[in-house]
Amino acid sequence: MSRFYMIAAIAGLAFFSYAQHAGMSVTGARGTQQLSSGGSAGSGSLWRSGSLSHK
Amino acid sequence: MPTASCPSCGAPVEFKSAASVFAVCGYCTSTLLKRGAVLEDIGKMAALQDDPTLLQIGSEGAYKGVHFGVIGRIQLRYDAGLWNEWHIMFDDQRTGWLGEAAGEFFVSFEHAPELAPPPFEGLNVEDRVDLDGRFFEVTNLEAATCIAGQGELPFKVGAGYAAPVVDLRLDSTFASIDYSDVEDGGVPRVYIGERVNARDLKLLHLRDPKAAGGATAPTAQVGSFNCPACAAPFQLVSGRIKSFGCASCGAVLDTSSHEVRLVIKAQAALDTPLAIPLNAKGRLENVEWQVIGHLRRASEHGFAWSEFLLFNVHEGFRWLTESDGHWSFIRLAEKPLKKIGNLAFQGGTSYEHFAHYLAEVTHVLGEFYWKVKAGDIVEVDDYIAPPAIASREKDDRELSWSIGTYVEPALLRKAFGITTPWAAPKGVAPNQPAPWKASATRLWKRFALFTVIALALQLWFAITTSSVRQEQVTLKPGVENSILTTPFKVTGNGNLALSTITDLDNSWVGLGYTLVDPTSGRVWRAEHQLEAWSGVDEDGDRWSEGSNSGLVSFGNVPQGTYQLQIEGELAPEATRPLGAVLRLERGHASWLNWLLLQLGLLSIPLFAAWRARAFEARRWADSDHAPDDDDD
Repeated sequence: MSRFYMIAAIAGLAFFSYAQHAGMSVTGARGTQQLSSGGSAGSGSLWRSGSLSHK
Repeated sequence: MPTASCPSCGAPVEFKSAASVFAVCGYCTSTLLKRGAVLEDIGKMAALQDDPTLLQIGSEGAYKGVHFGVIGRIQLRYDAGLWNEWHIMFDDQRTGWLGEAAGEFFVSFEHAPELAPPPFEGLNVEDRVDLDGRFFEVTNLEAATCIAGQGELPFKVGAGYAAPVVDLRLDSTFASIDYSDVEDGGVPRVYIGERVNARDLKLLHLRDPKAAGGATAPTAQVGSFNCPACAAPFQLVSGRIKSFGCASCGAVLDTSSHEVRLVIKAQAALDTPLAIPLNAKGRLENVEWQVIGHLRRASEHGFAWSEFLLFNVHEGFRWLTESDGHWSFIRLAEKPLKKIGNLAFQGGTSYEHFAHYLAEVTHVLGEFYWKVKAGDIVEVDDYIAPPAIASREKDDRELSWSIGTYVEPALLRKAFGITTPWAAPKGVAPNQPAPWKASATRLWKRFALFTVIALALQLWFAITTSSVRQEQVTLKPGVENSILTTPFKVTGNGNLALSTITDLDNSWVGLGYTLVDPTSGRVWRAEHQLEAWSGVDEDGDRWSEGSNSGLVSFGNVPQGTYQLQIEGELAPEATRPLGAVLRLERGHASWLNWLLLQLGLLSIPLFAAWRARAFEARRWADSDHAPDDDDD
């Protein structure tokens, strides 16, 4: 168990370091590199009218 | 060193100690009383009985670095067999006593307490006796009888005189009170000393073990006999053996003297074969042990267990106990444990009280160093410090402590060469080591280590985070907003994170970001939607959902000059402009990632701790202190 924990923890630390370096986040969106620029991210069809179950 | 002649046979009688007033002639066994320079013959001394002692007059040893010689002996009989008190004289002219009973040795010196000890008749096991301000606990009450004396003695002894003796303990200090002179108007004699290991005494000039009845060569008490009940032959491995349970007919025999006597005619046969057969030999703790006896005992609650008596000619006796397939290796404690409430202490180990019960011998098989028979009952208190166990056994005459440790069945099977299958251990033994406990302890230590490493890493990421650009924008309602920043330089390594904080209130906004490298034409795109809602429900409670801030990040963005295009679309119903602050950082350190890592690191030690706790709950469920009935 202890050995398994050591391996898992070291792997976790390594992934954590990578995630921090690469800017990975559970909540945050991750940008991607695209081949060319142009177009509008804000085209109306992209946005929903709100998804939260607000009361 | 005065020497006189025996008035009976003329042989020289030497008095090595000035304190000696009594001697038994080594040639004619005349009992000689020293009156000044004259020896008075007061009759023949009774013969000593054969016993397995290796000591003899003339043996030598050392105690606390001072050499001594054995100059006299009193042999007594008590309920468990024979017992010798050897009169010893040190090189510094002190005299003392080396007590020897059931393979144990005690060195003691006569002590004159200020207050006379209480009378023998009023004492009970566990009573406290004040000896000059030190309160000793009564551990044994014996109505011994003197068999004979030998050599030089500081007082007169005679065969057959009663010797009521009380043994007491205070930590490692041993005391005994001899009441044998009280009947003649004398005062009790008090002796104070300690238990000693035979090896530490560095004894020399001992009897030949073969003549003394050691295990290697039988003599009078060691050898082959026939059961008086069924005539089956049996052997005794040691002269210390006082009882024998016949394997053929179940009779229990008294073997404490030459004449083997029948104590109990027959016992019911055991319902299961012995897990380790009698006479089996096995190596434990680097000592070869022979199984010489087996007891079956049961508590008043009907719980039964087995006890195997082990013998080694040099080490004496040990026990292997078995209950529900769990085994412990047990020895007598060198000194009583110190009891405080539900705890008992010895050698830095704290034992916790587990159970109190009555233990009755239900079956006897093989050889025993005390007179045992089915029906013998003692009061037992078990204390545990897994894998160790300490047991306190008490009856109306004796109080003793034994300590032991849990032994894995597989280890015993290998040690004794057992090939027949054993049933798997059932439940949890009182002193069974918790398999997850040590693991959990190790895991917590490693968790602490990895937490420090993770925190250090996170701090390093946080410290190396650098601000690249901050932009304040306003997004208008009803239009598609598009804002292009002026060029800015991105240096360093790591992710490029863009955090956005808005003044969003009960609405949503869609945001798109395009990071453009005007030189190479490369672009990175990201988008997210923010929505923030709040209000008061029908119960008057405030609620809120969502967030007016967010984070996006771009990976693998090399150093260079960039522009950021921000595109935003407000909710159709929005009527007012939305303010937003955008902050671009290089090497952003996410605390959420760190928190997730911590939770991951924590999960396995928590699981192990939970398993260990569940194991302890099962252990203590069988104790006097189970959570449900713990009312003390």
